[in-house]
Amino acid sequence: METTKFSPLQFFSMLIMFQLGTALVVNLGMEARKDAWIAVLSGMIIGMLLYLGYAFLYTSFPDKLPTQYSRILYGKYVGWLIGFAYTVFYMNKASRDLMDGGLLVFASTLKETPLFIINTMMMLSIVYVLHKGIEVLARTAFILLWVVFLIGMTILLLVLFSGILDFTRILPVLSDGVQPVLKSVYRQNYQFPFGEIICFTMIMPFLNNQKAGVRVGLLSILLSGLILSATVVTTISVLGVEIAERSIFPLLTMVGKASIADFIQRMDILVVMVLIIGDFFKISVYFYAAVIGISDLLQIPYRKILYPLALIVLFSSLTIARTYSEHVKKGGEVLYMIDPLFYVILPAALIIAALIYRARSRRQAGT
Amino acid sequence: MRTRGLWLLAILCAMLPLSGCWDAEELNRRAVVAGIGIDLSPDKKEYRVSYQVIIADEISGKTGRGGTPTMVYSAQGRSIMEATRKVSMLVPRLVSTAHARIVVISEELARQGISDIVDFLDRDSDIRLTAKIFVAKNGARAHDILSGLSAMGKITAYTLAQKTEMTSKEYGANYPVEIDDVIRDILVPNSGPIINGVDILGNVEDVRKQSNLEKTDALGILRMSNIAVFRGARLKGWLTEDESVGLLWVKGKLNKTSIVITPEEQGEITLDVRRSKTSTQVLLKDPEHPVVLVKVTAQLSVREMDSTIDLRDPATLNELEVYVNKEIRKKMKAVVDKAQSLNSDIFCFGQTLERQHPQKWKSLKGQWNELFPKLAVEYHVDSIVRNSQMRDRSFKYDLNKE
Repeated sequence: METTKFSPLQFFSMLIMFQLGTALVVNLGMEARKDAWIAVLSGMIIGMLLYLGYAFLYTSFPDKLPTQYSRILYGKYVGWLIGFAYTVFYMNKASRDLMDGGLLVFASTLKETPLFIINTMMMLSIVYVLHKGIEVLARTAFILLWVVFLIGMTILLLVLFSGILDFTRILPVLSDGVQPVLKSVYRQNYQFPFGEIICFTMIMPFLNNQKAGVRVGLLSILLSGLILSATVVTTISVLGVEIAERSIFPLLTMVGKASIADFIQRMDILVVMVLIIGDFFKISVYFYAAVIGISDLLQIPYRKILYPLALIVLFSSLTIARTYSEHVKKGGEVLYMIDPLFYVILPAALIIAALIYRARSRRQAGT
Repeated sequence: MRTRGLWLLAILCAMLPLSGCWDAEELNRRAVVAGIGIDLSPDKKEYRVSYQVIIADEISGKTGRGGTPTMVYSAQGRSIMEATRKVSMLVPRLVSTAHARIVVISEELARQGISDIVDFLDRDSDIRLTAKIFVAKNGARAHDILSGLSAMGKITAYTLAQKTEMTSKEYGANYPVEIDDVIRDILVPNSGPIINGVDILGNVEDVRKQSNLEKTDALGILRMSNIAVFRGARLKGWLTEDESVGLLWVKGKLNKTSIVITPEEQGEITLDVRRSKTSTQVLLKDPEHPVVLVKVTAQLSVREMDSTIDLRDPATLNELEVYVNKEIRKKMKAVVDKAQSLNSDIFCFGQTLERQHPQKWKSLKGQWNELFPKLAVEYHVDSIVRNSQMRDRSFKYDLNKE
């Protein structure tokens, strides 16, 4: 295992970038229509609970990777399998996010560029950063967090001062009852993007401050949940749910609508920047989690398998789905039932085992 | 030797992306479209799409050949996109619609339905939702509107967009309607969008000639016209000018306008509305028959009077306010009656009901198309005459005294 460490602040920036990543620009919680923002907030609360579970596992084994402690808890074979399942899951997530980002850039701005080139460029930069190590990624996150923050502020001011907000468009609240909201939370919001931070358990052992790290993690979920929810409110009150719901890229359309005095306008390219930056971190963290997991499971040095695995992610991102609809459908209709295995069930199994393990080792220490 | 070969290979590979963006198309290879016009073809089966393209050489001055600053190219196709592709047979450069600021639809087409067009405008990733929509009125084709030249501002499409903004602020018989407004309104049950009309004042043939700009009183000019009322995606009728002002009042979009009143035994008095606020409420005293209450508060100032009244007396101002209230109510009632006769809820009273009484809306939603034409609407107008500009009485006041 590497000995590099990063600070809670860098961990915080990585978490924020990871959660905002693609969630900020894609259609979030639109199954709840007008009440999408409530769905996002409820998802956030469930996400915080999940995170507390992941944090518990981390504090139980502060210097071990999940692939290591799963073998301690469930024995050599079952534990190895759990670890392996996670790495496969992370690889799949990384290629799905690569596909996501590539397709959105393809659909919105680079219409002539082949998807393969867009994805290759993204993967090249990710591999370059990860080759330098996780610490470099953490520092990059801290710097780019400010870039994203500045872009966010620009967009916010732009939308506020162009007078296109009409908050009556999110009224009446909960007109169709809580059912659509619950459905949206169940199908999407607690998993995406909040449950996805499960992959951070793979990099939490590199934290240099255990207690503060856990705390900033919780704070980051709160903050990104609020940002996402506010974004959804803004998007719907600018475009109306009728347009936002059908949009593949609602934030882009929303910012395109803003203009101040016919002079400051066409700022939607900023949104594409945010997408690329956020997507970069999402893929990087997933990919890093997968690489470090495999390097631990198969006992191969990390840098040696980085490039071959990058190729796997790149090619599976291109073959994972033929169309954007197929890609979204897989996510929305199949994976939401499989993914909870990794977000909820396996972590829960690990937590129970960890509790027993703790109690037993305490008893042993006592006697 | 081997490392040197690898380096060389790496440098050669780096040359591929260094050439720059794959999608890049330089500005001098693009034809920038300022406005889009959509007509029906003569046999009524296809669309005829016209693009007003900016001729950059003529705009910048030095390189100009004395031609017109814009050109209109049009092509025919079964869909807007097909026609757009076909325009490439006429234009040597890449037609780029990202800067189109207006979309004009002919009245004939608007009566047939605009849902196909709206989908294209909504879906396209180049055209922004901020483009303004117009309906060409009085038999003018969308093509004619785009062909017009204007003295102020070289690009007619942009001038028309500015005219919309300006007249909405100054007179209030129009307000800027953009693509997303239309999409939202089409989807409101028993309602439809309202779209500004535009027509040609003068001769259709003259307005497109450069000689049009060689006289001080132009032979032809593009004029903002009254508002078209749609039901669903189809044009149903036109508002008159008073009704258009009334519409802006009911919707609370009015900034400024002027009101002429003629109090008894007095001459005409013109007042300016400086500020106005509207709030709409749905009252449910009788649950089956909702009543809409439109409350308007307006601030005015006296601008012109052919009368001898003394404005130093607050009681006189109060008297004027009564006449003003009546006038405003008359305009609002006119447009509500018109909308009810066309059975199109252009004020979105249904949505107001939904927002204020979500439960009630669920039961009334189904019968809204029967309820709306008979809907009772009450108007509470409260206007205040704040000032009378630089004088309190007219000079005629002294004239009469002697």
